[in-house]
Amino acid sequence: MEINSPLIEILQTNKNKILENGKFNKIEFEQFINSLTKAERERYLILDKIKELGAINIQEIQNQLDLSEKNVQCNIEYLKELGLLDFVGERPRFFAEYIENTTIKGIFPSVALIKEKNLCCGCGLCVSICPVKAIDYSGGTFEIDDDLCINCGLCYSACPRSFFPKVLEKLEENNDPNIKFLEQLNYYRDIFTAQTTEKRIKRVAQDGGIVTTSLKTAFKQGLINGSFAVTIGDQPLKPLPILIESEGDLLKTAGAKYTNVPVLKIFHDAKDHNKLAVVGTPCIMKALRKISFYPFNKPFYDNIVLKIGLFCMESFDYEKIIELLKNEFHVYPSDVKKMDIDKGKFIIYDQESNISNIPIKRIKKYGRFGCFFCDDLTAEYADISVGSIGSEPGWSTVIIRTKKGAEFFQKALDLNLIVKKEIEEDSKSFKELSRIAKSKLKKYIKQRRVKMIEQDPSERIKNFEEVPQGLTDNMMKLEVQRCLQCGLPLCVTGCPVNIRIPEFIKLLKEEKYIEALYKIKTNNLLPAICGRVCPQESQCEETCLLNSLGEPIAIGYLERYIADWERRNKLKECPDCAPPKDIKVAVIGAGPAGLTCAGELAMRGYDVTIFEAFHAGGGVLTYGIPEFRLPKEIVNDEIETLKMLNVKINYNAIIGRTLTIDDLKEEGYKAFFIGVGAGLPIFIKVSGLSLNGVLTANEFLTRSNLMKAYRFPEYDTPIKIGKKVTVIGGGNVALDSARTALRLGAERVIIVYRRSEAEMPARREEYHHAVEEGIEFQFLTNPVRFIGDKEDNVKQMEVIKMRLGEPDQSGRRRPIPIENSEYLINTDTIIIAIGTRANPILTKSIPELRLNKFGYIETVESCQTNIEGIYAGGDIVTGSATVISAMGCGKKAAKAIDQYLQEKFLNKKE
Amino acid sequence: MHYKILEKRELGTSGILFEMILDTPLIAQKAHAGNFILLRINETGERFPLTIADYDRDKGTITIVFQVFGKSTKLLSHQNIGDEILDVVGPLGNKIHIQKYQYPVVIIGGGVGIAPCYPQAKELKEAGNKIITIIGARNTGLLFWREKMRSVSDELIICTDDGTEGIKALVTEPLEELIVKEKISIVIAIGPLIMMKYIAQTTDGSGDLPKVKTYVSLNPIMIDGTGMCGGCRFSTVDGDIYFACVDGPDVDGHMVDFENLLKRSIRFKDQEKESLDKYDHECKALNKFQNEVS
Repeated sequence: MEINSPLIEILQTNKNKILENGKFNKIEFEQFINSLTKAERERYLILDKIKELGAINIQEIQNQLDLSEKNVQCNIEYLKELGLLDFVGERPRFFAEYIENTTIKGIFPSVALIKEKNLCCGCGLCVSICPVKAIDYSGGTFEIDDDLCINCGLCYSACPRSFFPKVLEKLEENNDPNIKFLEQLNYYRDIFTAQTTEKRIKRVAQDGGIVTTSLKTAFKQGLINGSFAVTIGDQPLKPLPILIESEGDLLKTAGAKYTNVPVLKIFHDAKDHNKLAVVGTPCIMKALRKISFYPFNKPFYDNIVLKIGLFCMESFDYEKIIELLKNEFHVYPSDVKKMDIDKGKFIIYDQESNISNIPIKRIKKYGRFGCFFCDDLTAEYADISVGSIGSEPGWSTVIIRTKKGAEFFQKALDLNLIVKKEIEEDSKSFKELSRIAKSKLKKYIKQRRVKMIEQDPSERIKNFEEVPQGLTDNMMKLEVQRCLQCGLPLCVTGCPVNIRIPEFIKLLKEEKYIEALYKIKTNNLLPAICGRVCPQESQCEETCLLNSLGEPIAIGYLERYIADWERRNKLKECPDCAPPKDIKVAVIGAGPAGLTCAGELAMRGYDVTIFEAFHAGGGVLTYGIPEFRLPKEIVNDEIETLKMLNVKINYNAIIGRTLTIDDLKEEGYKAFFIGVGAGLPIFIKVSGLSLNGVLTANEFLTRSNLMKAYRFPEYDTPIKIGKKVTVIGGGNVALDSARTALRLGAERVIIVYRRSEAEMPARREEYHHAVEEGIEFQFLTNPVRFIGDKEDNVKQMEVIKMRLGEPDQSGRRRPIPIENSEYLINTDTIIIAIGTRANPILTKSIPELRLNKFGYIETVESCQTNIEGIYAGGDIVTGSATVISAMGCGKKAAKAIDQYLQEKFLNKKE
Repeated sequence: MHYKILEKRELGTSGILFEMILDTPLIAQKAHAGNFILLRINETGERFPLTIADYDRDKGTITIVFQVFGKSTKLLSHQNIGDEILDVVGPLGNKIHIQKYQYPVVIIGGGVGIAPCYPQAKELKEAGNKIITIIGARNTGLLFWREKMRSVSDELIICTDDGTEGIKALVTEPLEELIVKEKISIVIAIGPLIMMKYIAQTTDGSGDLPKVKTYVSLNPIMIDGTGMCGGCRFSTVDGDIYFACVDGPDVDGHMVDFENLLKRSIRFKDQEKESLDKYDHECKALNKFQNEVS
């Protein structure tokens, strides 16, 4: 039967290229293609069957096609990850967005994706899988030569880190009554502690010399004629994979623990050895397990007769080991004889056998990212697993897993080359092994990210109460389990104010709430606000390593949890301030940038006064963000915290009007921070702007939020929306406006946005909330004119459909009007939410202040303006951005102001 | 900040016009003719603008004059000496341009709009201009500050719609006569929108009269007063958009689309009535309660 397989097609097309580079000869190539064709045929048969059945019915497919359950399941997994099972609602679990955008359906991307996602375990398999030698592995990672690559995607499908069918986690022999199972050890038969009887091996062995002795036995008995192992290359401690071809060669092998070795990179080189043993870490065993089903390198895969796995906690790139030794021990690799991990310590032995050690947690930051995604300590997919955990010095723990493994080991015992003692399940040794293996079980691998409880959409559109209701204690406890506690936390670098995220999560895990709160407040005085309105998905959570597995840890939720805990317990914790410095600093604007800057300066001992134009603090947090997204009580509470730090706030003080910078200088203020935001609305250029019922989002939201018009007539400020409301724009402000209108009683709320859903700058979470609430979205639609009645009340909006053209400066595709596609939308209210720009009230009052062409203040990296002592940050510098980025600027400016004042008035250089 | 009411008096005999002197040292330092303030009387109050009618930098006070129109002005009229207003912010808006003009300056105040004419007349007079002031109202009971205006004017013309004081005329009539009689450099008009509309029509050169540069002072619905919300925007006859708060409040009367502005000014008519009715009802209930207690 002919099959239409894009994979086979690519390989056939590139036949000459493959043969030229010499990996396969003609016969081998035919074998290779045949085995793949067979596999592909089965796969497409299964796919056709699913199409025919209209659903995934494993039993039915098995019966009708006469295939094993494992075969069917592995192939379904494969098809699903290829994105070919969309039609039955099965999307790829991994990197769906990449897979679904590939140009040729049925072909995987390359492993470049795995590397990009920091998932690479370093097994080296892709190097030997690649039919055109396009992948090379050195220096801790692989490189793909794009010129050589034929985009067949074989590397990705073989990679143990791309996807791994659940059915492969089981041992084939698991019906055997001798098989035992423990979650952290997986399937096994027996566990021993064992030691070699060979004196020569014993002398050089790290532990019990079991691996060397087993291989020696196997060679001797003719059970193997080759083995992959590790040797030390030219550089001390630098391991290289080698192929051992005889018993004598065994002496070349050497233990080089903890350094990542891509053993499988030389897999292909052993094609002439038909009885191979592989010794390697759990990831190498896992890679072999995967290609046992997807045999991309047939016929060579069939040559493997024995897999000896090594226990592994995590491994390090060679460069990182050097760094570790240098930074933590101040030694060079040549000084080190042996490294070990024992009882929570990382230990090194120097050439004179002197011992030094450091706690394990200090070595974490040198670890491979890829290792964070491994929960296998004991090499679960090996025939025999060997390691030191659970045994006395000079002995090794041996886990016999498969029948084959048992036979090999028995040979060595029979020949008296190895002695063993049983490890009983109630023994101390077993418990230790079990405990450590369990500690490596990563909750995050299987556990999903928590979902916050939310008010039901049909209920919440009738009130202004918060939509997300926070995490329960139990949800928090589950979520903190997921944190990797990785050594090099990218979340911290993703956070504009660098909150020490893993540390506060760890404290939460230990239920040390006050300490967790302090940990956050050291970097961020406004956690209740940030936990709610920060776009975590494009900041801390975006850089979280867990993204590689699908969902990042819910950092925002946890931040909010701890802040809410503080409020619930009526605490007002604030960090200690430095002693008063008696230097006055003025902060202009009580928005996110100003509040942060003020808090930071107060903590450094300055006498800070905030000048705020409105009668309430918070800036956009108060006038812009609605109650249902950020309760104003929370903003007020956070401002109260600042007052506890002796920050003074003068409301109704418009700098540039009520007071000038010069007035403040006269009053003794020595430095200034300008954080006045970008509070000028942008109007769309259409006719009918002055019709009644047309208003800016600024006006609409200020009425509702700051002036509490949603409680009219209890509050005096009126608001009027009618039944049909149309909002123009695609950002958070547009969504806030639309959702506010709904809550004010609008029957139909439409958002028109000139680009498509994908380009919307709004937070995804808010967009989903809006959709749930019944907001209608008309994408690729742009207003042409507003039409009113004779009383000048708006009645209709004429719009035109758009299509997306080439990307513009923002990188988003430029919307272009489609001729003659105009239509009318009936509406009682139009809210314009297309952005804001700089308000000139303050800047006009300081003529010498340097502005850019858009009226924003120009600053250097430290937030300093062109005038000495005047700093600026937030939207008045950057244009409309996020709350947290404004806070980041406030913080940075505070640091610069502190330094400036120290140097100028305290004669201190930092 | 406390914004205490230092003085309060009723103006005229209508019972709806009031003058207050507020303790606002910072605003007093910066106030100029043309500036306005925004007030919020209490926690549930709205922000509304009032033009600064006078200021005393030494005493740190400003004077406001208002007529009771809706809830907020009624509530303000119920405040007494010693009471504090929750929020007063300013000075906002552009001060008027002061220069010596070649010909006389005509300043026209209608009703409560007489008050903001005072600082303008005063500052222009101090700059050496000849000031001709016209003040007008529906009847004599709504007129006030006659002597105060006379003190800063070279000539004061008083008119009422019903002839109960001065000449029986609309303010546009003496204005027309003045323009016919002599050359006028500028006209400044402050008062009801409809009055300013007709004055602008009188001076725009479309009729028999020559065109005279005319400033009108806009006082639309506002929230922040700093250009942020755009609620106070007005359209020009050419369809351009300006904000009364930051581009005004004094603007070229000939460019304003008064028809649209008149319609905009009543956009919250129903809510304003609802709010006032609620307040009246509460006041009645309170009075009744107080009477019963005493």
